[in-house]
Amino acid sequence: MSRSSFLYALWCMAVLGLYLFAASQGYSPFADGGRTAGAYRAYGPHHK
Amino acid sequence: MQTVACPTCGAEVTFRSPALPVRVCDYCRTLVIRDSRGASKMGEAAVLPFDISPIQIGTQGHCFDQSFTIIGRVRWAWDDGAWNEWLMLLADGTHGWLGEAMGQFMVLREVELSGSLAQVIRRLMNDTPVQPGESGNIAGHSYEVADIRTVRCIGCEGELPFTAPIGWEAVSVDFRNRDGRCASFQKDRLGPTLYVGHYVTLASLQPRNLRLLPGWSLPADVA
Amino acid sequence: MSPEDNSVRTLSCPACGGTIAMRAAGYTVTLACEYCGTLIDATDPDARIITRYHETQASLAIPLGTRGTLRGVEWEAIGWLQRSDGWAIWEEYLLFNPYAGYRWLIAQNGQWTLGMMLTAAPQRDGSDMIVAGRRFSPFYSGNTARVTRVAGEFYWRVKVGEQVRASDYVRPGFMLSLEQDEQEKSWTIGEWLAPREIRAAFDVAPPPMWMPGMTPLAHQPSPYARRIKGWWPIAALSFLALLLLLTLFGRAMQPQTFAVTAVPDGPAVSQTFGPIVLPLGRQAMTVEATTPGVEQGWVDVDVAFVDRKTQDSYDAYALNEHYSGRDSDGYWSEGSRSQTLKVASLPAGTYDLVVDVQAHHWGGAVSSVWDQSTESEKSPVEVVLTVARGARFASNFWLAVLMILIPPLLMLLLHILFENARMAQKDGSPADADDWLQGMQSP
Repeated sequence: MSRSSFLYALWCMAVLGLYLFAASQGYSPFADGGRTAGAYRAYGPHHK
Repeated sequence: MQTVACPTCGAEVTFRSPALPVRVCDYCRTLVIRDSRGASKMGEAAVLPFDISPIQIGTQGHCFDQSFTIIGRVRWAWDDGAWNEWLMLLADGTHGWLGEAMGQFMVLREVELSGSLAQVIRRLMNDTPVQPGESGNIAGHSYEVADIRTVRCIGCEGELPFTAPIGWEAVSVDFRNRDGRCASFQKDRLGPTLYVGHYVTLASLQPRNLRLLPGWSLPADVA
Repeated sequence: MSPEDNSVRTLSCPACGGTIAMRAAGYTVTLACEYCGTLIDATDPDARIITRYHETQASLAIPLGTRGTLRGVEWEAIGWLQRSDGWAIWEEYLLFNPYAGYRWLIAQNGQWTLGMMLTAAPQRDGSDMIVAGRRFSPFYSGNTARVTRVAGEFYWRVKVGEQVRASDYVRPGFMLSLEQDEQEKSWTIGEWLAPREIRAAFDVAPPPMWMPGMTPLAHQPSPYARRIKGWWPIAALSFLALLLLLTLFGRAMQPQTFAVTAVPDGPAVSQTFGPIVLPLGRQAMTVEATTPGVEQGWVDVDVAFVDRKTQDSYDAYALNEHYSGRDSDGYWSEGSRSQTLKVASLPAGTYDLVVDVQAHHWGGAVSSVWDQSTESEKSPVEVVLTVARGARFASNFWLAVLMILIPPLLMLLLHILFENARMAQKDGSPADADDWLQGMQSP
């Protein structure tokens, strides 16, 4: 395997790892709500 | 094998081939001719200039499906260069030539000038000039004239198949073909001869006893 | 035969007196003094001058007499030429080994090519040439190459100004050259040498790496084609692995269903449901909000997961709506009565789901056979919420696929730029699909 193929394989494994990590945390930058979306909105109770 | 005494200096002169008539004495460069009476001399051969050919007298190898030994050499010169032709004694007693020019090698054997011959050969036999690029059929293959030169023999050593006079001149025409075959036509005052053969690499000859050149080691494929 | 202790013969230049070495005695015909450029006839025992020059020679990238090992054979650089065809200038080094013959090292634009003269002419196939089963396509034709400078030894009567007609055929990494004049024609095959190989043999400056804007040599192989070919199996494998991960993770589990009713244009309704237990360190939640009864109006559903202990709130909202009617084209409808919300990364804990619903109905404006509102204008709308643990984010998958594809796509772009620049120098008909395909072949 050439050096560039090895580095690309590492890149792909990093992407897969990132995907796995996001899946384990139930995370997505495109979620409708939660930790990411609307994080700028006020935290804390707005109800009783 | 036959050994005679050199008529000039008395040294031992060995003829390895059964049929070749002439040999250059290694010590005094006399051209020794063997005939029914023994040996007589026929002038002196010129000293060969120094060169770094990897071939030497005694080099052995394999071609034309036989093993061969190098037993002689003629050096030809023309206006713009020179090359060696080494005489090969083949295992079956016949002989051939190993031509060496510009670092490329070819092996050639004489063929009879009889039967149906190509136009270009016929014209050469009649001293009609030919041009480079003209094509003709020789021994079943198509060739093109590569060059036409007037050549001089500028030296020889070892055994030779002809009585090589000093100052021997000839017209030499080289033919080339797309498969790596080659042919050579020569005409001198004794008549025309035609040789046919092909290009080889030194390694493909499986050479042994190559000349060792100071400062150079044998590459792996010919060692 | 007397023993020689050296293969090299030295002589003095008859013009400048400098000591010159003759390394290929017996083959060399012309010797050019490397100090003053004077051409000497090596076949004349008196070393007669052919042409006298007075210029001083520049220092060469490979000084004459240098030895280097290429492909297992030791070569000595014994001659040097500079040639020009009116477009480009390049240099040629004559390499010699008494057992292996001659080779050429051609230097152009910092790139190096190893050349060898053929003993058999190539086969013609249309406009292409075939050597040893490999196909070469025409690239340069109708050029005249002229010698501009000379140094060292040569096996023919070389002189400054001598010309040959030249044509070149290429395949990736190889160039087949035809040179002819009135007397003869010769074919040479050249192989592009990778920087590592030429630098290991001769200590030359590193060949520059190609960058957009530079012009590659006609036979320079695309470094990107090689990479694309090596990478695409890795990309395919990674894609399959991602597909597998997509299916494995994110199943929505343990659904719970709640319902809220609101009156259109009435007061906002807020209801709290629970408990919803989230056991894992972090998880996503899927909330499906369906309002089957919405018609000619909309329902705004705000949901918030509120941690009972910390009172942290994680919000999302859905807007369900449905409109329909009839016009000249027939029945039409638009809007969605159901939305799926995915809420990301909620920490473990026990949560309440706080739901705020507000509905609106556009009453009376459209008369339609399908309009049920004429019956009871502001009938309450029910919102059914299905809450499940886990969420499958297809967007993550596509983002990962994009990230996997970016490097090979970048290589493809660079390959296209490289080949475009390379083939722009081609003589004759412009590059066609065959030329592009050939460019992807391995050397």
